[in-house]
Order: sequence, then C-alpha cells, then structure tokens
Amino acid sequence: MRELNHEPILTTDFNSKTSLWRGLALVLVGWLVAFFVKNDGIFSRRIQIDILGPNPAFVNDIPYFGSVLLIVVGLLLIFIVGLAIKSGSIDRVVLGMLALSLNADVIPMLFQLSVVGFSYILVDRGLRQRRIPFRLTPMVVFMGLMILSYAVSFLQNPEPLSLISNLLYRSTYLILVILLPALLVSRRHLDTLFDFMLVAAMLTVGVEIAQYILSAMSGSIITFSTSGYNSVVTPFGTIPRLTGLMYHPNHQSNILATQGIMALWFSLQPKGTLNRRRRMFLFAGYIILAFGTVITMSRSGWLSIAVATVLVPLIRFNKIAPWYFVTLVGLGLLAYTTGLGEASYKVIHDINGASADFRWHIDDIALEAFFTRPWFGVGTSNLLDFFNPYQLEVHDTYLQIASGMGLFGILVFGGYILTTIIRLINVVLNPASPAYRDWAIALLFGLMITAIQSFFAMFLWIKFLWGVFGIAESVIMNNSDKKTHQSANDFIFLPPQR
Amino acid sequence: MNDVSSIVFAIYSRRLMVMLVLLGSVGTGIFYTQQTPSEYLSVAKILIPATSPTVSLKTEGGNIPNGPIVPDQNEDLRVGVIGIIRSGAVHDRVAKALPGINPKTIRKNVIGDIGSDSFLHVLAYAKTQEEAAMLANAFSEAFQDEMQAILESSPRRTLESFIAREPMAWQQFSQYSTELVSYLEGANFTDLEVEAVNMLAQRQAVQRQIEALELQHSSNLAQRPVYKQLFESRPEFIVTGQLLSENSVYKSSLERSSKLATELALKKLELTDKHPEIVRLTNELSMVQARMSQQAEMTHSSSTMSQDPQALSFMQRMVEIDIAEASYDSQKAIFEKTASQLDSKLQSVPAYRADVSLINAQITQARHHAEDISARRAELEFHLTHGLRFTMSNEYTKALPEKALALPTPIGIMIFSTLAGLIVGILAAVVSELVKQMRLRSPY
Repeated sequence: MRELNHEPILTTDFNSKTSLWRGLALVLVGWLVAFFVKNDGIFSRRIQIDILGPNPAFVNDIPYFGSVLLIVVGLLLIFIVGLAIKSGSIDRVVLGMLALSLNADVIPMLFQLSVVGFSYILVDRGLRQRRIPFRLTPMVVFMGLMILSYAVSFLQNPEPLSLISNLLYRSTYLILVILLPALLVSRRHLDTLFDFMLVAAMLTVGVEIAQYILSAMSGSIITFSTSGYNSVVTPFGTIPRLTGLMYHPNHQSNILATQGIMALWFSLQPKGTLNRRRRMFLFAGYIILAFGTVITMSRSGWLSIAVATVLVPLIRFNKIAPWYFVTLVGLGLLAYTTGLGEASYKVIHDINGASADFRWHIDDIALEAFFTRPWFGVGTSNLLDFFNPYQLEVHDTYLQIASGMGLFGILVFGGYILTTIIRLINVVLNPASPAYRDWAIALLFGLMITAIQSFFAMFLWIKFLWGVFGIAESVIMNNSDKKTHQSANDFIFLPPQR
Repeated sequence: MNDVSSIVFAIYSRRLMVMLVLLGSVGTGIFYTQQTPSEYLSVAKILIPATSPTVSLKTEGGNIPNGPIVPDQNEDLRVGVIGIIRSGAVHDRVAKALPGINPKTIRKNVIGDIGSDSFLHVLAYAKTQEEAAMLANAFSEAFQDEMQAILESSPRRTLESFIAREPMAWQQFSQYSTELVSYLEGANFTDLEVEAVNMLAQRQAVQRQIEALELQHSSNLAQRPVYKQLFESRPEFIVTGQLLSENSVYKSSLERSSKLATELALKKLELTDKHPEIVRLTNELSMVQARMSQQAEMTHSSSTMSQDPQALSFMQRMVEIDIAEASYDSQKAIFEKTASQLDSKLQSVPAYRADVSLINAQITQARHHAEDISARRAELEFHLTHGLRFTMSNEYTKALPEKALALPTPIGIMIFSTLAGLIVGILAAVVSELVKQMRLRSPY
C-alpha cells in the first residue's frame, strides 16, 4: 500500500548487529565527551593563556572553559537544528548563517559553512530531483578576469605562495555572485534573505552597545579591532570606535549604512504594498542601523548615510520632490552663510585629524605605484613595500584597484561594477514588477553608500560587498527571467511552505 | 506539526540515544575521577611594580647616557614579561639550577600568566605536589634573577664604559689646565682681566690728559693776543699813592657859617624876617656858604708813581703761556706714544680673552664631565653591588606543596561530563530528527 500511495519509505529498522554498533558508537561519543572534559580540566588554563593571552578582560583563567564552551556551542547547535526542524528544512538555517556571516567577520568559518550548506542543498536536491536548475550569471566572465587580474600579483610578489591563502578565501567571496542568483529565484527569497540580514545587522548593533558598556566598565576599549583603530580623539575626549561583529569600524559602518538605507527605502513603499507591521519593522531597522553607524565614529559612514538619507525621499516622493529640494538648498545655504556648516566640518575633520591627513600621503604613494606600473599594478598587498616605510594601507578602494592591479584591474573591476549598475538601472526602467524596481533602487542606494565610502577606506575584499553584488545579480536575473514559478518543485532552495 | 513540542517529543522518542551518550560520558567521567589527580598545579606569584628603579641621583650631561634602560612598566611590560618567559630563557636558567629535571619537561610544564590580582603567576604542572611547588618556586627565583640580569645588563655595560673613560676624562681636564697656564705665560699675562681693566683705566687717564693739554693749548692760543692787547693798552707807570691836607679857608668859612647860623636863629626869635639885621645876617650867611662851595675840603699835598701791576700780571701771564706752548709738543708726543702703546696692548685683549674663555670653558666642561663620570661610576658600583632587583616575592607568594591544586578535579569532571554528555546526546537526537525530516521531504 505504501508503494501504491507513493509515500516515502525510511529505513528505520536496524538489525541487532547494526543496533549494537550504533549503540557502541553513541557510547564512544560519550566517552569522547568525557575525554575532552578531562583534558580540559588539565590543560584548560594553559590553552586559555595561549589563545586569549595572559590577561584578557572578563574571561581570565576560567576553569573548564573548554567544557563550558562545548556546552554553549552544543546548546546553540541544538537551537539551530531546532530552528531547522521547525522550519522544515535546513534552508532557512543556512540562509540565516549566510546573513549573519555577511554582518560578522569575526565568527570564523561561518561563511564557509553557509557556502558548504548551500552546496549541500544544491547537490542533495539536485540528485534527488535529478536536475539542478542552476542559472549561471553572465558576470562569471568578469569573475574569471578578476581572478586573472588578481593572479598577476603572483608574478610580482617575491613570495608568491604567501598570496595563495588570501586568494583562496577571497575567491570564496566571489562565489556569492554565482551562487546567490541560482538560489534566490523569487522575490520571497530576496525578502527572506533581507529580513535575516536586517536582524543580523540589528544584532551587531546590540554587540556594539555591549562593547561600549564593557569598555566603560573595564576602563579599556573592548572591540574586535586593533588598538590603532579602536578609538578616536574628539573635543569631548577619547571615544571608542565600536565594531560590532566586524574587525574594523569602517566596515561595520558600511554594512550598517547599506542595509539601513535599503530598509529605509523599503519602509517608504506606497500604502497598500506593505502591511503596517512590516513597515514598522523596516523603519525601526533603519533607525537602529543608522544609530549603529553613528556610534562607529566612522566619518565616511556618516557622510554616506547622510547623503543617502537625504536622497531617498527625493526619489521616493516625486510629488513633493521639488519642494523638498528647495528646502534642502535653503537649509544648505543657511548653514553656509551662518558658518554652521564650516564649523561642523571643522569639528568633524579634527576628529582624528591626523588620520585624515595621512591618507592623502598614502594616496600619493598609491598613485605613484600606479604610474610606475600602469598596466598591471604593483600587485595586491605589495603597496606595503612600495616606498612605504610605515607600511600604510591605501585607504581608497579605487586607488587600491589601480595601484594593485593597474589598468587591467580598473577595466575588469570597473567594468563589472559599471555593468551591474547599468543592469540595475535597466531593471528600474523596465521592471517585471514594482517589487523588483524597488529592489533595484534599494541596491543602487546601497552601492552608492559603498561608492562614497570607497574614497576613504578599502572595501574591495569585504564579503558583504560581494554579497550585495550577488543579491543585485539575483534581482537582475529574476527581473529578466520570464519563467513563472508555480510549484514547490520549481524551487531547489527554500520551497514555499506546503 | 513542527513546533517546540514536536521537537521535545522527537528528543523523548530518542531517549535511548541520549541515555547511551550520557552513559558513555558519565561512565568515563567516573573512571577518570578514579585516576585523578593526574597532575598537580602549583602557583608562585611575583609582583612587578609599575615603575622601575632609577639609578641616577642627579641629572647628567648630554654626553653621559641616562640610567638603566628597562622595559616599560605597563600592560605591555606584562606582555613583554610573558614573552620573556615564552622565550625559554628562564626555563634554561631553571634547567641549570635543577639538573635532575629534563629541560623539555620544564618548558612544557611551566608557564606564566597574569592573574586577576595583577600578580605574575608562575604555573607549574607536575605529577606530585612537591615537584610542582619546587618547579614553581625555582622558576620564580630564576625569573627574578633573569629580570635582574636584564635590568643590570645595561648598567653593567655603562659601568664598564665609565671605568674605561674616567681616567681619560681626568687626563683631558689636566691637559686643558696645563694649556691655559702655558697660554697665559706666552701672552705675558698673569691675570688678563685685572690687567686689562688697569690698562683701560690708564688709557682713559692718558686720554684725559691729552684732552686737557689740547684744551690748554687752545686756551693759550686764544688768550695770548688778548693779554698782549691788554698789556699794550696799559701805561707803564701809574700813580699808586697821593697825600692830601686840610684847606684853611674852607675851615674858617665853616666856622663863620656856623656862627652866623646861630646868630641868625637867635635874632629871628626877637625880630621879623624883614628886619635889616635879619636880612644882613641872612645875606652874610649865604656869602659864606658860597665861598665854602668854591673851596675844596682837602688840598693835594704830594703823590707816588710805580709800575702798573695789572700790566705786570698780563706780562706774567703771557710768559706762562709761552712757557706752556713751548712744552706742548713734547708733552703731546709723550702722551700719544703712551696711548698708542696702551692701544696696541688693549687690541689684543679680546683675542686673548676669547682664547682664555675657550680654554676655561673646556676646562669647566672637562671637569664637569670627569666629575659626572666619577659620580656615575661610584653610583653604579654602589647599586650593582646591592643588586637591581625590582620584582618582589616573599614567603606568602611562594608556592607551597600543600596548596598545590589537584588536576583535574573530580567534581569538575563529574559535573561537566554529565552536562556535556547530556547536551551532546540531545544534539545527536535533534540532528537525527532533522536528518529524518530531510529524508521524509525528499520526493520519490
């Protein structure tokens, strides 16, 4: 009967031999746990000193620290697996891991695990369905050229093998541009991913606040960045630069500002297209993320989110746009004539003024590197040794490309970015649905944030940027894909709930 | 229905799985508790002050290096101290002190840490309490010796250089002193300043005399024609004396007028002004008075003439002027010669002064330098004799065998084995449920 009804048949009965082996394996797992606890009891303190240093804040010489971590990780995994069970598959869990990994550079291997998860889903579903509806993006050509451009650095570095590890993990970021369009085939996928990203971003703002509280309590700055970037001198004293779950406050400001402005754009959709609860969620997301951007003390983040916030109403509300524009111009003139604008600029400029001033110096070095080797640049990471006695990184993404990869890199990366922008504009002008138009404009705002900040920091190899590119590619391909998804079988990833 | 209760049910349905994992974990935990303690941990503490001791008691010149250079006494120092420990230098010292223990064992089983009490903790692991305590204390001593050696290395090198340089510094001072004496002898001075002041005063006096001489010469030249003119305008002889006697006519007239005046006055008492007697007396009186006025009171009897004293004085003055003018040229020549001699001497004084100042400055500097080196040498010898040990430990911070911690603790093993075993068992159950669900959703 079961065969006739085509109900799934699971192998649930084990014979006695298999059951015995299964039981022994479980006991062995228990033995391993106790073995771990015992060795943790002996070596825990030594390992803590080796890994965390001699005097870490708040976590110093905790006995059985490894066992505590094992229990915490176990509980977390139980929670995640429970979520997967509750949602019916591992799709949402893996998507959530990706969303969190884009907002949390400090969690090791999370991104790679999510990519492995996606790969498993694709292969598993593909094998079972005997097909893998994989849409290959045409941007894969640019991907190949990017790898080639990067690989030229091997010819220029005296120790080429040292570049391999960098190339390997940066290549995994590029995978997002190919992987996401294959998985995110509907607006529902995009909305789900964005919701997860927004929640993860809000979580990192919570981490920022916790960092501030811990720093205030301990008297020393507790963030994930190095001491060179973890504080800023202001007329009001030294203020910590909070990083959330990223390693650098500028990166944190970039991810928060990008997602925040996208949330703002989505929250201002016309009435009837959005329910009140979701609108409040998106707008609250913008407020929280904007706050998080401010407390990173990243001036480039302030500038970019301010510019984008001013532009969003201008584009969203066409009817009042002229009056809005006039008001903006009036306010600007008022600020200029009263001197408030200049005074504000001076205050902001003087915040770590030396940091702003030294960037022009290192930008000069980068330009000189570009003009010295204009075709292929001096190689990625080689600017540190190019007449650069203080080993300063170039704080400009455009110059990073130019100096590191030369004209070839400019053509490849510039071409990729330009092509993406043009295709997004095409979606705006020829949308398959208003939702995709909204998505395209939101992504253009997000890329604008990064474009502005790229004048002041390096974002080329931040996985969040490539995540945004992957999402952009998904939107573009969804917009151009005329196929209508009807049944759950049309979705290899995150099928609709039955 | 995939809600929490179904997950709990799934775990419950796999309770055998959870129990097996828990059994394995707890059973192994009990076994390990019977084996404990497998090691002992002993902790010795060392206090590293925030500031290092300074050696110099006074400031030194720019040529002399400052006090001993020590690592910066802040958190970085503590990290630096951990680095020193990790480098193995202290372990090697301990190995030399404890030849019976394998150096590799010492390296593996002794580590440094910073406790929440800000002490440097020396953690020593060993199979017995006594061994652990001994290792910890030996390491603590060796570490303090190493820090002392590090702290003293720079002062010792400095001391060696001072010992080498001290005689050279004093010799230099002597050289400069001798040079000054020779110089002064060659310049024929004993005390340049005093002699220069004297020469200057003398020169000023000579100059004043020259000016006075010039003034006198100018005055003489102006005065002589005037005196000459005055002399020529005066007579050679002048009356110097005259003898006068009394006039007799005048005298008799005077007597007569007195009589007449008296008689007139008496008559006016009896008679009027128009009476002829009165008129007669009045007329006679006036005639006598007129006669008196015509006569001088004294008459010249004789006079004396002599040479004009004024002319004589003029002449004398002219002679003096001539005499003075005669000696003017010679005096002036002498004064000018004296002045030029003084000038030539004074011209060389600035050069001498500069040279002497330079030599004096060199002497002063050399003396200060030599004195500083001598003082620093004495200072360093004093401190190095006593030893520069700035870390602190006492009997309360030493490791004691009876206080060695047994590792692992039985209760810790039991608690964490049980908890971790339970969690891992539950995890295995939920993962099994997830795999089942994934298989169920696969289309056939």
